[in-house]
This record gives sequence, C-alpha cells and structure tokens, in this order.
Amino acid sequence: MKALGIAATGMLAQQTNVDVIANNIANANTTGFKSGRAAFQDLIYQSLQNAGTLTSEEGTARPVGTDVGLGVQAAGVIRHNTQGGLVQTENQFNLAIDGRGYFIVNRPDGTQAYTRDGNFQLSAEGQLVTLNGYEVEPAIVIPELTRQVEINQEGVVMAYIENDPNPVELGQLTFATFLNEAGLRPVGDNLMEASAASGEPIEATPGTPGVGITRQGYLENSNVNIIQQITDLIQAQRAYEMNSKAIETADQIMTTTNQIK
Amino acid sequence: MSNITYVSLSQATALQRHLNMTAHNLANSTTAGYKTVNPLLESVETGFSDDDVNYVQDGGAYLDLKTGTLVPTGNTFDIAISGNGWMAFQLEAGDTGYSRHGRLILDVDGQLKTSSGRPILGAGGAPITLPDDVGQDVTISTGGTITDRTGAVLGTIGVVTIEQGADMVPLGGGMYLLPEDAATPQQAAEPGLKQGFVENSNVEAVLEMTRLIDIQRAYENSVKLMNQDDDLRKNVIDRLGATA
Repeated sequence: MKALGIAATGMLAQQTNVDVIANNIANANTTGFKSGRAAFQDLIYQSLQNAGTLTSEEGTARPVGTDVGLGVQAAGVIRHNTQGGLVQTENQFNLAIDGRGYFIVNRPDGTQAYTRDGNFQLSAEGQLVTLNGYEVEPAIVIPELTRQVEINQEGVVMAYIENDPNPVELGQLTFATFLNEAGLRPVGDNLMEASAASGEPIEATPGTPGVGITRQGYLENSNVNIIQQITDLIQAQRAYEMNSKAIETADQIMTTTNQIK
Repeated sequence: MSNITYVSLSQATALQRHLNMTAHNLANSTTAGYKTVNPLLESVETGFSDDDVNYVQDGGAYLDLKTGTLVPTGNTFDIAISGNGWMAFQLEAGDTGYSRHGRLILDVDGQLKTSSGRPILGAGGAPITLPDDVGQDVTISTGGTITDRTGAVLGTIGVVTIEQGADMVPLGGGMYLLPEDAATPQQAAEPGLKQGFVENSNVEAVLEMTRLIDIQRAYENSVKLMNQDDDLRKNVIDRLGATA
C-alpha cells in the first residue's frame, strides 16, 4: 500500500508551504524583505507496466503504461524579487533602492553581504553602518559638525559642514547586481550572501542603467502581499486535510483487508 | 477456490492501485503545472472456464490535460501557457522533456532553466541564453519572444503542440516524455504564453475526495464478497460432509 507514503509526502510538502508562508507573514513589516514561495514538483514515477511493451506475437503493443507516481517534493523556495513600496521616513540616513541593485555590507569576519535594507546609522567614528553596526562599502565617514547630509540619486554623499554653504563630497555608494538574484542565499539580519547559483556580484554606481537609483529619506517596505499569503495559508491547510483523508482511506482499506478470514 | 474469490481479489488489487493514484493526485494538488493522472481499468477474460468470467485489471493511466488555473505571481521568469501547448526542456541524458511548469530561473551563465537545472529550449530547439546586463528586465510576449527594454529581440521560447498528450509518460519534476510512436511535436500556431503567471495543478479536489469514498466502499464490497463466498463453501462442507 503506497498510498500511505504518498499522502505523507503531500502532508510534508504542505508543512513546508505553511513554514514559508509563516515566515512571509512574520516579515510583512521587515524593511527590504522579499517574499518567498515554496515550489513543488511531482516525485518520480514507478512503472508497473511500460508503454510500448508487446501484448501479442503479432506485434500489438500496449499504448499506455501504468506509471504510479510516488507523491510530491519541495523543489525549493523561490524569492520574489519585485520592488517593495517606498515609505518616506525623513531620516537622512535612510536609503531605498529603486531598481535591482543591492547595498554592499562588510561583515566583521571580512566577507561581504548584500542587502536591500537601507536603514543606516552612524557609528561612533561617524561611519555609515547598518543597524547591526556592519560597515557599508565603500566606507563613508561623516565629519564632525556636519549640519546636513545629502545623498543624490547616483549615491554621491555630500555633507554641509558648519556654516559652509558649499557641500563637501564624501564619496559615492556602490551597488551590486547579480545575474540570478533568486540564487542569493538569505542569512538573516536582512542580509544575503552570494552563492554559486547567484554568480559573482557585478558592482556599479547607482544611476547606471538597469542598476537602480538611491532615494534618500525613504525605506523599501517588505513586498509581502498579505492577502495573497492568507489565501495561500487557507489553501495549504485544506490541502493538508485532503492528504490526511487519503491516509484515513488507506488505513480503513487495510482494516477491511484484515477482515478477510 | 471458486472464481468469485479471484474476481473479488482482482477488484481489490485494482482498487489499491487506484487509491495510490488518487493519493498521488491529492499530494500534488498544489504542484504548479501538475496534470491529474487517471486510472484506466479494463476487463480481462479468463478463458479457462465456460463461465463468462471477467477479471478487472489495471490497464494503464492517462493524463487529464485540462489547463489549471493561471495564478499571477509577478515574477519575470514565471511563464504559463494559456493554450494547450507544451514547453520543451533539455533533460540530463540529452533527451527532450515537455512540461507546462514554467517557473524559470536565470543561471549564472545567463541561461534560462528550471529550478532543477534543465534548460528551456527556444523555438529553434537550442537553449536560450540572455546577455549579462539585462537581468530581470525583459518582456516575454504571448508568442514567446523575449525582448529587453529597448525592444531588441533576445530569443524566442518554443511552444509545441503534442497530439497524444494524454498518453505522455510522467517523469517526475513536472516533466513528461513523448509517448512511444508519437508524431513529432509541431510548433504551436498560437502559443498563448503569459509572463508573470504560473499554472496551478489541475487536480479537482472534490473529485479526488469522492473517489476516496468510492474506492473505500468498493473495496469493502469486494472483501465482503470474498467472505460470503467463503461462508458459502463452509456451508457446503458442513452440510454435504456431515456424516449421518
């Protein structure tokens, strides 16, 4: 009786589905978060009778085979890299990316990570850092007695110091883009790592065609569509129940089998 | 043993297979691009008695090719087919597989593939490679033409029509092989591709659930028949074998 195992793969798949949906809903207000969706594939098939096998010596052949499928498997979680809504925050160190680039962040272990979360702050030394205190690459240090900082669409950071009416240019931000964004590995803290699937980062300054622009005073909202998530959740629950019914039927059939003397 | 028991046994065996298939359909009720499998039961004449006795046998399976609901995802490389065509993919062994599951990714070499790494084939039968700098910024027309933001054509996704679609051999992973002695697939006249959509599984939950009930009751019937046949024989032995 394979039905028990088959239905169990279905229930497992729906559990994965609910895990992914729960993570999406939990991150509905996370800056720069991209919603994921569990993708499923049918499992391998077992051929009990092959199509094309001869059914007589005159050469007649079986037109169809009996291929019994063995259930379903999770094929991966696909991230939706659509643009999240931009929310105005009025904070001069809040940056949003309008386009496909990523901010580059230096982690304490020396490796680089990538993020869409532009909720930056200043460190004790006046350097632009993430909320975890990781430095933004390239290093931008805001001098003391800075009155105001302006960051334009090309990511050029300018500071107005003391009473000087002319700004001082402090540097320009760099964005990273990837051939296969979906291949980036999420590592938590709104950070992503490059992987073999994403390819090496391609660095470019904001404003380069196809890379995106910086928007100062804005943050990118999570792109989770909460209504979609709730309907997906309902579907997942019902699908889970249906699979459990298949298990129940298999169980009852086996009970009936036991009644054969 | 009389034929009754064996006829019931053939039914019980076929029903177990049928249950496996139904469980597989239910397990795939949320698998994008999945096509429902239906059992093909046939009667088999025994030929070894004068009685007109037919056993039931599992004669194979066929696919229900109804198009599943198209669900918007907004992803650039999610492609669904609104017509009845199939997309072609290059399998590991160099064979061509067919699928309606168009959730594609762009790999590091710029090739369009499924998440399990099988390249999609263009209208010319070759894999599709996009230039480095376009990324997600492409438009796919209903005819399958991929263009970048300037309107330059980067490739065409091939959609073919297959005559004996219901007999296709499922391979798992959303892939199907052409049936034995099938005609060569032809390029579809109207591919009807939809960018940013995924085709849901076409499993009808209600149908599969009623099937579960059907299977269970039919199984109980056939087992009851076996038991009654057994009782009958026991009765015969008791009565005729009783010594006065």
